[in-house]
Formats: sequence, structure tokens, C-alpha cells
Amino acid sequence: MQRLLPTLALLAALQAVAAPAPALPAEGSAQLELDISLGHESSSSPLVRVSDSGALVAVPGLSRLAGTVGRASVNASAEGVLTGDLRWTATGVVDARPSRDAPGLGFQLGLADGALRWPLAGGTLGLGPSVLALSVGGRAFRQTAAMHLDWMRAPTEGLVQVWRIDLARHRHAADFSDLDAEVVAPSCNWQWAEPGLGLSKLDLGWGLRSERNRQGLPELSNRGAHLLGELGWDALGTAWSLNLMLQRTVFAAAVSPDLPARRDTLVAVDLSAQWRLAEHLDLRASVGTARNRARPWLYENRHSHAELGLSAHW
Amino acid sequence: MTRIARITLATSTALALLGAMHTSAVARAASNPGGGLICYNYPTVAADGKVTYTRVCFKRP
Repeated sequence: MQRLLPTLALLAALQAVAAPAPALPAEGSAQLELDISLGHESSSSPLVRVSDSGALVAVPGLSRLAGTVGRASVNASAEGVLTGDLRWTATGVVDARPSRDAPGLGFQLGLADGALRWPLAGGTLGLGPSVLALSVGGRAFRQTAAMHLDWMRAPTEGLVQVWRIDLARHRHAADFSDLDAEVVAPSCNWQWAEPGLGLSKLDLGWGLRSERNRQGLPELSNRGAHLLGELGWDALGTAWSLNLMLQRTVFAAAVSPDLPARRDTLVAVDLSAQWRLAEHLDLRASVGTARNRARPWLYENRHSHAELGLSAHW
Repeated sequence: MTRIARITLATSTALALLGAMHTSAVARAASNPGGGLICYNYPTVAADGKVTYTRVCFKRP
């Protein structure tokens, strides 16, 4: 009760500044998207062996995974009115990427996300839980339980701004339980529709991230920041999208005295082209590459992909 | 945990998560939040009352 009263007082204060309330749809809605694709992926990293004395020794060549990867995903979202201005939203996702050639590239994801939204200070505030399960290489890898708080507003026509903070707890399968961690991740996204210069879309995002290892292993705790950018344009009857991601991660301590504390710099770029086949059906092709430069070098890796797929949406 | 086990663990984690984040274009262009991004549909109402949904993507925490 001692915690509940201040919380209610805070909510009441927030409600007091709710005017002017933005108009929201009077009715609920639902959206469903299905996606299937086939592509090729490769991932490589340095080869390392341990000498008789326990030292790490680089082996010429690379450890490489490559193969054909299929993909199927379902994304369903819905929203409705609870009472007055209070609304609910729900999102569910299942995403599977099996690979017969290289099972290590296999990846599965399941997500359930819910939130309550209400008008606040010219935008809408959302608060809710989410659970996420990841499987990598055919094995359960991570479960994440999180709470998120976000505030969305559309200050001018064609511009949408969202500020968001996630508080998450990662739990891992037994073999990876040393990775259990708590994460605080504030982020922001600004999105412009028809911003000019021939663009159909401009999307900028940035965020911070602090991960604290729950097993007391400082070499696995880290802090990071990222930038996201997307340019969209229409040309030659095709909707093009160019995406860029930059990410910097600094770990709290070295894994051993003879190695520096790990620092990663990740750059990822991809390009997609999309064609409208029918009112609810698109054909999409995409290529992309990501490179992680790291210190020490044993954490460096590269990843690339190319795929062709169909996307249906209602 | 031994030194080698820690190094192996951290390396395998990096590989797994790098493989899981690559499809940002797909995540934005279509429906898939599996590529390290999670996408949500935010409803907005234009001055003429027309409701539109904006897909906004964030990196997974």
C-alpha cells in the first residue's frame, strides 16, 4: 500500500496534465501480417585454439556458417477501448527461420506484448508487459520478461515521435545461465512521412542500453548506445528502403588479465526492394551485411544475407 | 566458470545475437521483428479524422 499510494498520486498528477487529449479511433482494430521467404545467410568469426599453456592462439582462416535459410512469420496486433480514453493494445509474433544446410543459423522467436494507453500531454502514454522467447541453432537460448513505458505523439502532420524505456530481465537455458541479466534501455524514434528530397520516409532512432549480469560476472555486464536510420523512396515502380545501424558496446571488465575489456563496434547496412502484387500482397527482396569490430579480436564477426519473400497483410 | 568457458560463452553469444539481428530492412518493410527490432503499430488520427497506423521499430532490450 505504501508503494501503491504514491503511484496512484503520480498517475493522478499525470492525468491532470492530460489536456489537450489527442483524438483516437473510437473503435477497435486488428491487423494481421504473414511473411514467408527464402534466402542465403553466412556468418563468420576468427578461429581460436587454446595452447597447452592455456594461451589463446589465432588459427589462420575463419569459422564460417553458411546456408539456405527459410523463414515464416506471423504478426498479429489488435487494440480496443476499455473505458473512456483508456485503450488496450496487444501484439503477438511468431518468427521461425530454419536452415537445413546450416542448423546453427536457425532462429526462432515468440513474442507477446500488451499495453494500456491513455492520452497524456498531447500524446498517448503506454504501459505494459512483454515476454519474449528466443531459440538459436535449434536450442532454447533466452527468455525475456520486460515492462515498457512509452509516450507517442504526432506534433505535426507526417511526423510521429515515440520515446520509450524498457526494463527487462533475461533468463537463459541451463548451458547459458551465466548470461542471466537485467537490462535498462531507453530509446527514441522519430519518423517522417514524405519529408521531401524525393523521400517517402525518413526514420531516425537512437537508444542507450545498460546490462547488468545477475551472476556477478563483470566481463558480461556492458553498456551501449545505438543509432538507427532508414531512408525510403519510390523509383521504377519499386518501394526502396535503405537501413543503417551503428552500435557501440563496452563491457565492464576483461574476461582474463591478459586480455583487454571487450569493446564492440557494429555496423549493419541493408537494402530492400518491395513490389505491390495485389492489394494485400507484396513481393520483397533484400540484401544486407553486418560487421562487428571488436577488441579483443576474437569477438569480431561478419554476417550477410540475401532473401526473397512474400508479405501478406490485412 | 573457467576462463575458457567464459570466453567460449561470450563468443557464442555474440554470434547468436549477431545472427539474430540482421534483418532490419525486413523488420521495417514487412512484419518481422525477429531481426533485433520489434515493431509496433501506433494509431494516429489526422485532422480530417482519418486513422492511420504508423509502424515504429525499436531494438529489443
